[in-house]
Amino acid sequence: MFAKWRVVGLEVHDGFMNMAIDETVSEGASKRVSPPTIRFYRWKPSAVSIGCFQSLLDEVDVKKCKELGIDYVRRRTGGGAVYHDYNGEITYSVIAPESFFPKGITESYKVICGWVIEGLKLLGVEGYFQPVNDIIVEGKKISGNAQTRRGGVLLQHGTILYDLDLKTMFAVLRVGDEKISDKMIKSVEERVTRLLNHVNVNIKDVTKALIKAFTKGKNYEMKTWTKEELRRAKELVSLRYKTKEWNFSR
Amino acid sequence: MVGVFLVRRGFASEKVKGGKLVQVRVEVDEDVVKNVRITGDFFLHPEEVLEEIEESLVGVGVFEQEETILERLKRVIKEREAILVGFSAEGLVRVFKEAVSSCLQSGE
Repeated sequence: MFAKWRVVGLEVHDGFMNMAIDETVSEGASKRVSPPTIRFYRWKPSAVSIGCFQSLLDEVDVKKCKELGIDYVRRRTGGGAVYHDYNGEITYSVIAPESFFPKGITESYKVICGWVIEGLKLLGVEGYFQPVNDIIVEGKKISGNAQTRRGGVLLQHGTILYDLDLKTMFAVLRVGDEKISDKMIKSVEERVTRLLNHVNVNIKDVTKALIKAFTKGKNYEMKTWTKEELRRAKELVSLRYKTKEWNFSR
Repeated sequence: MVGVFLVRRGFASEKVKGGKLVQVRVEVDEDVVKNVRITGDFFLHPEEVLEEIEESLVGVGVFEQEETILERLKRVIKEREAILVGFSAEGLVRVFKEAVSSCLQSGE
């Protein structure tokens, strides 16, 4: 059993690698070769991730993505489609034995979302958890989260919205047949918010606050991936996350 | 004259209030469901069970009662100790039935 959490500070990868790292560490934690891990990352190029049960073609304008140089990737977790803008969000993953968390799905979301809420608080922003998987600030969603459990390991990843590029988001996500109108943009702005609406901080400060909140009361060390983890992650990129079979499976 | 049976396709979806979207696509051939595809932004643990759920709905007759279909579904969920989040077995059966009816109405 690992005594310490591993914390990997803000990294930048493409969407395929980001999802492959999550899976690699989940596998590793299941075999007890990877320690419980908390990681923070961004997506470059910006990318759309879809929930594992979503239909790619229903959710994503693939042609538009190609035009704009935006990747798309299917996650292993359920939930909805997310546009991960390089400048607009920070993503986290928590990967650890299920036994670290409450058995109930909502209860375990609540624990990890509590860490996000704590991070927001350190930045002076009041948020609260709204089941199933959202964090709300002043009545609007600021963070979406998704979880899977496999081989005795819990993986939860989620986003913290920092800025919003609604034009690009609407261009790449299929949001019905309506044309992108000011009305639609307004409707999203009524439901979704971002850190910059509430506090003037940079991404570095946000990451610092999140790391502080996520590690509170934990024995941890700042570390990175092992060579073997990186090898496996790259393998999973080509075996799964970059393949048509996986991304277009629904 | 020899009857020509065409595969009919149906679709239905439901957004649970405060919950998730469930979409069902079906293919029906000679009054029997031949293919089922369930999509949406819900959660299901373990994820692989969705394929088994789809599989369990293949072979259902278009006039089969909701209760019978629900029983099939619940059996799979129980056997696999699956957890549905953001939708229910009852809701799924409702959308499934609607998808099946939609291709009966389209008539083609």
